[in-house]
This record gives sequence, C-alpha cells and structure tokens, in this order.
Amino acid sequence: MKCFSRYLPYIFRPPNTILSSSCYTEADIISTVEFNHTGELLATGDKGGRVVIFQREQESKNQVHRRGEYNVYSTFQSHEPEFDYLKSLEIEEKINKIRWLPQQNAAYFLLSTNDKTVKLWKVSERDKRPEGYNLKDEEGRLRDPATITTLRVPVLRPMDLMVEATPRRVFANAHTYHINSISVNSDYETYMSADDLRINLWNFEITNQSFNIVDIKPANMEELTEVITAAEFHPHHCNTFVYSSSKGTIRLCDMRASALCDRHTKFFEEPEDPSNRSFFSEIISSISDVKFSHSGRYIMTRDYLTVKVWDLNMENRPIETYQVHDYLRSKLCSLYENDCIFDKFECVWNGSDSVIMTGSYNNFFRMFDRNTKRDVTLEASRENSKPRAILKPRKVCVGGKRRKDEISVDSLDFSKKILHTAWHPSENIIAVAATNNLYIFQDKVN
Amino acid sequence: MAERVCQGEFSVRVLATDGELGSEVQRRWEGIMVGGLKRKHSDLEEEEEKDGKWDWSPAGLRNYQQALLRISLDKVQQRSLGPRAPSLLRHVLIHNTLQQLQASIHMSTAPALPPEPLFLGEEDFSLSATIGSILRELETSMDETESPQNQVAPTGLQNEVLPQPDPVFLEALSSRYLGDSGLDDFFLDIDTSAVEKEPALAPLDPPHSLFCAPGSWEWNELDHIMEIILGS
Repeated sequence: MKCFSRYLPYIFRPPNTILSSSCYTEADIISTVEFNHTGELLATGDKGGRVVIFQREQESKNQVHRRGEYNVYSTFQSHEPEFDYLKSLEIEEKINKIRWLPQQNAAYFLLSTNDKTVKLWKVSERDKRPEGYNLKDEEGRLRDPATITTLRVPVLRPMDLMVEATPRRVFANAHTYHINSISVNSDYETYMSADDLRINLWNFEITNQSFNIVDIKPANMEELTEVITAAEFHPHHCNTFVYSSSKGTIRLCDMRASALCDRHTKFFEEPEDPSNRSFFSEIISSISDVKFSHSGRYIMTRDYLTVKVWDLNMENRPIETYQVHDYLRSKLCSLYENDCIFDKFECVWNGSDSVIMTGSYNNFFRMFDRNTKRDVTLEASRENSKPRAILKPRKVCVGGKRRKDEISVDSLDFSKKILHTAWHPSENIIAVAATNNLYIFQDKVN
Repeated sequence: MAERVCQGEFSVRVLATDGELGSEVQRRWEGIMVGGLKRKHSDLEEEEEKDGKWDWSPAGLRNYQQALLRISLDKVQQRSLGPRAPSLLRHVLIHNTLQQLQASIHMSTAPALPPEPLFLGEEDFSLSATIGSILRELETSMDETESPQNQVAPTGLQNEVLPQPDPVFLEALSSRYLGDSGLDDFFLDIDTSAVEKEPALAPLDPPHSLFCAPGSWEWNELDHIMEIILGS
C-alpha cells in the first residue's frame, strides 16, 4: 500500500479561512470534484454555483522529483440561483456534477449541472490580441469613414495569458425533478442526464430537445417507492449504461434494445441479510454513487455503510464488499434523526482499478486495495498535516480501551464529511473535498 | 441544517419510559466537535447498540417505534418549510420507513385492541392517507409544466386564489397548522399516554371521515386556515 504524503498541500480556499468549520459561507462548500481525462486539469464546483479549474504545472527538467503542482487556471460562475414562479420554488445554483469531455483541440470542454440545467462550457486560452485596428476610435466607436485614409491590418501581438470560459450550450427545461448525474458517452457525441425519475439522452449540438430513455414515474405518485440515484455510461460501449436506485439495485440497460429503456438488460441486487434487518435497512441500502471501472468489466456502488464491487456478469451478488464505517450501524437512529443517514458519499477507482476510495465522517476517507485486501483510513485536515509529512493512518476505536492515536466513535465530527473525491486517471494523485477545502495528495516519491 | 453542520453538533430527543406508564424520561445528548467531548448515551442508543437487533421487550419496542414515528413525521413536516423544492429521494425513503413503522405498529398493537376491524381500518386509512396526501402534494408542487421556468410570470399569479383544495391535502395541512394535537387523531388506537407532553386539548370529535363536510368542525378550521393562506 503506497503511503500518501501531503507533498504539496493545496488548500483551495484563501488563507484567511480559519480552520473552524463555522467560519466559511455555505456557498464555499465544494459539491463536486473531477479530473479531466489526462489529469492535467482538476475541476471543482461549489454550492455557490462557481467552477474553479486547477491546472497541473509542467514538470521541470531540473527538478524531476518534484511533481507538478496544481494551480488555479480558471474560475467562473457556472450557474445562478433561479426562481420558479409557477411553483414558488427556488432552484439552487449548487453544482451537482462536472464531467469533462475528452480534449479534441486546444480548448477544454466540460459539462456542469445544477438541479435543473446542464451547461457546456468551453475553456480556452488567449495569449495574443489584435492590435492596429484603425476603424474604431479609442472608445470603440466607429470612426467616420471620411477621416480614414489608410487601411491597417491588425497584427496579433502577445499578451498575458488569459483563460476564458464561455457557455457554449445550455440544456434546460428537460428535468422536472432534481438532476443527480450526468455522463458523457464514449461516442463523444451524446451524453445523458438523470434526475430522480427520468434519464434523458442529449446530443451536444442540440439543446432544444432530448430523448427520454428511462422513465420510472408511476401513474399515481402515491405509489412511488423508488427513485433513481445515479447513472453512468459504460466507458467503451456507447449503447450501455447503468443506473442505481434508492432500493439498492442497479439496472444495466442497452439502448439498442428499445427506445425507452424501462426494461433492463441486467438487474443487480444483493439479497438482504436477515440478521441485519432494521427499520433503516432500506435507507442504508440506497445507492449514492455508481461508477464503472476503467476496464468496463466492473461497477462499484456506494451505499451508506459499504462499497461494493460487482462483476457485470454476475447479477445476484457483488464480488466484493468493503465496510467503510460499520461502527455507525448501531448509531443509525441518531443518524436518521440528524439527517446524516441521507448523506450521499461518492466513490472512485484508481487508474488501474486496483484501489478504490470513498469518504466518511470526521474528514476521514478510506482506501481499499482490491488485490491485497488491505485498507487504510486517512484524514484530510490541516491540523494533522505538515508540509511533506506522510499521512498517518487513522483508526476508529469501536469499543473497549481506546489506544493513544485512536478516535472513539463518540468523538467523530459528523459535520466534517468527505462526500467528494477524485483520483487522477493514471497517477497516484487524489483530490479530496472536505467541506470548503480541497486537498490534493500525491504518493511519496522514493 | 446548514447551521447544524457548521456547529458540528446534533441532538436527539429520545423518549423512553423508566418502566411506569405515563411517565417519561427525556434524554438528550450533543454530538461532537473535534475537541473530543464525550457524548452521553441515551437509553435508546444503548438498547440499539447492545446487539443491533430486535430483541426488546414489547414496551421498549413500542417506545422505539413511537419515537421513530415522531421523528419521521417531523421530517415530513419540515420539508415544506424551505423555499427550495424538497428532495424526492429523502421523501421517498422517509415515506417507506413510515410504511414499515405503520406495519410494525399494527403487528405489535393488534392484540391489545378491541376486535373492531373498522377502527383499525380507519387508522390504517388515516396514516396511509396522510402519507398519500403528502406525496400528492409533492407531486402538485413538482408538477410538470411545459412553460419555461424563468420567462414571463404574471405578478398577479401569486395573489390569485389557489385552486380548489383537495380535502385530503387539507387534512394534512391542518395537522401541520394545528400542531401535535392534529396528529393524535391519526393514532387513535395507539396508547400515546407515554409520549404525550401536553395536556390534551378540549376534546375534539375524531373525524368520521377524512373528507370534510361543509359545516363540520373540520371545515370551519380549514376555512380559517385558508383565510390565513390567502391573506399572507
């Protein structure tokens, strides 16, 4: 198991942010984190509707052991709060998800979404500007043609690098319910957006229509017992996607089978363990995230207490189950009362699909090595980290005598939750969002 | 919720009897800051922790169920207080939990009841109808409309009379405005003496049906509530 050191502690928020969690605004809370396909860029979205993109600096030949740092590359306001007058409801500007498109030219493209509207943003660099244009005066007004005696062709001159983000497409008015997922298809021409009850397929070029491919809304809403919680396209097969539900099931659908994929091709569900049954069984089985492995052979799901890995060829049970924080099982009643039981944790694969990672409370996050079956708990906090220090594994004491470095379950801070993490596509660099702070960790260079 | 998250604190009100009918012990503990303060356990959690399973005495189980029921109903009522559209996922999960609780309360209280299927049926209907009406209300608020969201919205719209209210919706609404006393009517067959915190209000006739007849006490109450809504 590699040791992760805080080689380059990148704290996203300005230095005047105090460590105490009560001293930030809610708008600063990071709501999504995503590396692009090369890992060169890292995007974060927050509750205030802003997107901040970090870029990894080029590694210099002089310092081969110094990995590239991530610096702020671009910041823009993606979504604004809106008000739906007909329903008298506010529409939050919080960015629920960001997904990158593969790079096809010098510009970068990403999709960002709030509860209702998906936007395609183009992020491009401008390092030259035209000068010498003489048809307008200094204030930008067209000059009287009679005063112009020469025609000057503007010349491009270098300028300070400017990164600009422009909204290229706005995909609106297609979701009655809250969008929880977006996923770019491997054909790079289409993508899907999923809300609680429906999934829509879009073409990037067409904003005024989308195809509805899944609809689980019952005729009578009183009969509603299950909602869609996450959805993703297969990484290689452009006709295949999966979606997870609040009842802990995953459905795999093939768009070639029919236009409306209400009938699944595969249905993944683990039978319930009767010895663990409680009033909260259903709530804790609700899947908060589903991710295909890079290979496309497996899917990983996250529910409240576990992470599960499923083989696409076996529907009746997962091939691996990892306990994230089983010590919370006896606390479910109070976690229900304070709403923590509804927290939606995400999960991620590393580049080679050998390690999986997910967050927990107290700013802890967990990694599971699928090969060695070893796991580690780490903490994202400034208090415990010094520059160049190696992250020390943490341990939660569940009962009996607490050892010196252990934390007892009763001392966990449930307001410090790590819901969003990301793993670089090919290197051991991870990004961990802890409320309003972003931590970037790299593995120790020997 | 945001405030609670920032302060790193949560509390659970737990109702537990100390063995005598009619008395209650209320415990409350605070969740934790990074400082490492130890949390006091409640009886409820200790029970839960012992084996995480359902091995309790009938009285303990009933109290637990009632506490959960109250917590769940609080949550259902809370959701309509914010300006943002409620989370459908959360709502469905709470709804399903309520259904389970209802079924479980039936199973655990049935032997103590006089054999009056109609009575049971009414309680059944009351709780289901409450849940159903809440879901229906949710659907109304999240109803599909074809019109774009941020286009012209006539300012008069907000002052217009609401569409004819659905009686079942109003019943749920009335319970919210009348406070806990409204909820008591839904659980007529459950012995709530252990959980009642206030003296009962002046005796109200239990609704004979959930559909309010004009001129009935419910109609007058609801009429009053509608005036408040329209007036605000």
